[in-house]
Amino acid sequence: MNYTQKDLGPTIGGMLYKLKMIEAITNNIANSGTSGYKRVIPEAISFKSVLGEAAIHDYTQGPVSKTGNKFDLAIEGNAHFLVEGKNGPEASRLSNFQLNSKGNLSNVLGQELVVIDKTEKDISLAKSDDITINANGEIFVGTEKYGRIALQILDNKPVRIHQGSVESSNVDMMGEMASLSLMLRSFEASEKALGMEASIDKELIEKYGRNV
Amino acid sequence: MSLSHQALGAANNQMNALGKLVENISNANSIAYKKEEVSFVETLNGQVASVENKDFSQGALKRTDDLLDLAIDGQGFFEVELPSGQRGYTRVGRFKQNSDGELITQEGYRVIPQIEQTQNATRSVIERKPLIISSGDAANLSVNELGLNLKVVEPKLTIPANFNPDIKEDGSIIGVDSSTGDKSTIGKISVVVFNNPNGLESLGKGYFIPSKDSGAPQDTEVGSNSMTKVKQGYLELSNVNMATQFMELTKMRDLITAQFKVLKAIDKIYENVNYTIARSA
Repeated sequence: MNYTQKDLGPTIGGMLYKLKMIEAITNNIANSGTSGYKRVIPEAISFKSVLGEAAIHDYTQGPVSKTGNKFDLAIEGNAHFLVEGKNGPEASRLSNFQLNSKGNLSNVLGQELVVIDKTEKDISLAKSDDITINANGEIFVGTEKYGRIALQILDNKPVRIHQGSVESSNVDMMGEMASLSLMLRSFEASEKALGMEASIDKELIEKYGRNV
Repeated sequence: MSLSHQALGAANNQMNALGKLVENISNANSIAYKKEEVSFVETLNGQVASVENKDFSQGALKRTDDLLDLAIDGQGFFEVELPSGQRGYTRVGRFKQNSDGELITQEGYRVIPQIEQTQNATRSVIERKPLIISSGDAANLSVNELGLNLKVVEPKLTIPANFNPDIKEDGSIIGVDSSTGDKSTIGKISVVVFNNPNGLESLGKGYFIPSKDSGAPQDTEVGSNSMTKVKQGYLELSNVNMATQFMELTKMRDLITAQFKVLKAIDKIYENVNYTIARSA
């Protein structure tokens, strides 16, 4: 059933809407440490999305922060890694990689990174400490080229890969906390209004309902 | 997914990550300790999941000048025999000798040598279990677990009493007679690598066993001209960088504080809503 704001009454409708915004903000705060997370924009939540439509995300680049791990790869720019999913190559922006049991780079979900232009030589990434990945995604073991990381590039702007860094979430903690406080007050105001509505209804019923 | 469940889940993950940081800091001085890392990912249904990793990057080398202190410079693990007979792997190269002069770890586990192909024996390798099968007297033949009539001799890394061990960068041990200076080859220490060391199962005290996530142990080139070297007279320090750990600690603490503020806010909402419902009943 599709309820409109009129069906639920303005106060309750407003409260549900604010609750949804609070949920978006808490989701942002919970994920502020997740690399590659894109914050949900609370203001963009329309009434329809209260009933389950997808949230709108802010897709600005998160800051690139160093971790020092040689297989952490942050993408600067509008591009995705290609990883082997169940039905073929998928796009993914997860930046933490490590070698799996076959000696191939894979992300934290176990999906293998697609590496093209692979060398014919028998070079193993597991046996060397000296592995460099340059801004174009070319993998070098010492001075030997091992291969190139396949990227799905979405627009014409330049794309760079940073080895040893991850893309942090684009959540601004102070901003989210401020939004949370505002939303909370707004919600409290709604629910006081609801309380007053309820007590008005109660009085009306008690006063005039009795003589019926 | 209710608000409180999600917030509690996130807080739980963050507390867990904090625990790992504390573990790292307390192990900063453990030989060859590899630090634990926690990263967060968003799962498909919008929850925060944490992923734990052991970081196997190289620790710094500390010079001790003890002839039986060994450190691996590069990728690789020493191979030892656990009490169960199973193979274990470690980077803790702080070795000593048992009463027979054999090379053992501080916990008393034998250090496994690399098997060499010798002229009169055929080498048989079954899951890297070292066996030398020699055609011996019929009287000495015994039936081993394979059901074959073989005399089984296991190579050991035994350094005789008045010999000093000179351990080269490829892991080979030369015994030098302390009185005459005569040299004799004792054996070669086995160093192996894994595709995914993070997939190894940790037994504690720096010992690991392989699992299907780590891949099988593989040979690698060890020596002065290779990427992996065995350094005698050195021990590998932990790869914990105190400065980074404390920075992470502060970051975690901020995240947890924010999370608890959120939980408090959610609690207030429920409290208010309950009050309103109760009042208007």
